[in-house]
Amino acid sequence: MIIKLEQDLSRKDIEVLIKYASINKAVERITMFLQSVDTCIKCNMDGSEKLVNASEIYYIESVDKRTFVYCEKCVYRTEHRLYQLAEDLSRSGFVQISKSCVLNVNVLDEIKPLLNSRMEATLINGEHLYVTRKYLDNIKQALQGGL
Amino acid sequence: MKRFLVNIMASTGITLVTLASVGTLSNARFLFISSVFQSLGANIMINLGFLLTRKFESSYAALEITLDIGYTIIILIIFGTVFDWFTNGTPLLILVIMAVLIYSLGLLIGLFRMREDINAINKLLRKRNNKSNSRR
Repeated sequence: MIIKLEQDLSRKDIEVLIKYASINKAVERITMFLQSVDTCIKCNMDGSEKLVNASEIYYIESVDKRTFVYCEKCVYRTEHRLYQLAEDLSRSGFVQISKSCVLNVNVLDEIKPLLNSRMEATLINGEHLYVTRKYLDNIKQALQGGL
Repeated sequence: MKRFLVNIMASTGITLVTLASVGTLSNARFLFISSVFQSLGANIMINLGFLLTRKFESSYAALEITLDIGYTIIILIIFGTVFDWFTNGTPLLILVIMAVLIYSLGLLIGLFRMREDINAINKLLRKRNNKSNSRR
């Protein structure tokens, strides 16, 4: 794959042109990734609204029917439902890892088994999350698609 | 679907081996063909029910296991009543012990499978990290 970067001071927005002989998995993945860069979630913090880019999100958790968006250092609240976000962000590398948590696999570092037939996911910032067994396949598929 | 069918066949196989072992211990000499199909029927019902019980998630794994075993025993009592297992010489207590034994074996197999999945995921993660490091 040849990547060319060209600076054009007259442009206001970034333009990406993909040249290909035929649409294959690689082309689809690049398109998906580029689309995910532009995917934003409307969040609230301290009464003010903010659009958070999907690539900045580490994981999304639902606690007492409230949805929280966790980034590297900040935590936001969103009005979106967890299942809705899981569906909308599935193309951006987000997978459900338990009934109440959706994880960005791009920030996943490692998975360890625990004694109680559960698992623990370690994120790149050292944070730990519980993983339920029935969602293991989701993680595997997301990683296989992203390689 | 494939995993579901494999689970039914595996649990039926374990049931028949356990049944034969319990039978041998009590000097029985053969298993009826109908027992094989009754075991298969019970295992289909149990595995179908597990699809529902697995929707329940608790932070306590013991609670989930108790729910699964409780459901299994209910199905066995229903099948035992319908097919006269209790009057044909299988006491309820033996049936419960067998159910717990079979469930524990299934759980153990599941844990091995889980470890295989975890290893595969960690391998994919290492591969991804190596790729991104070599690009830098």
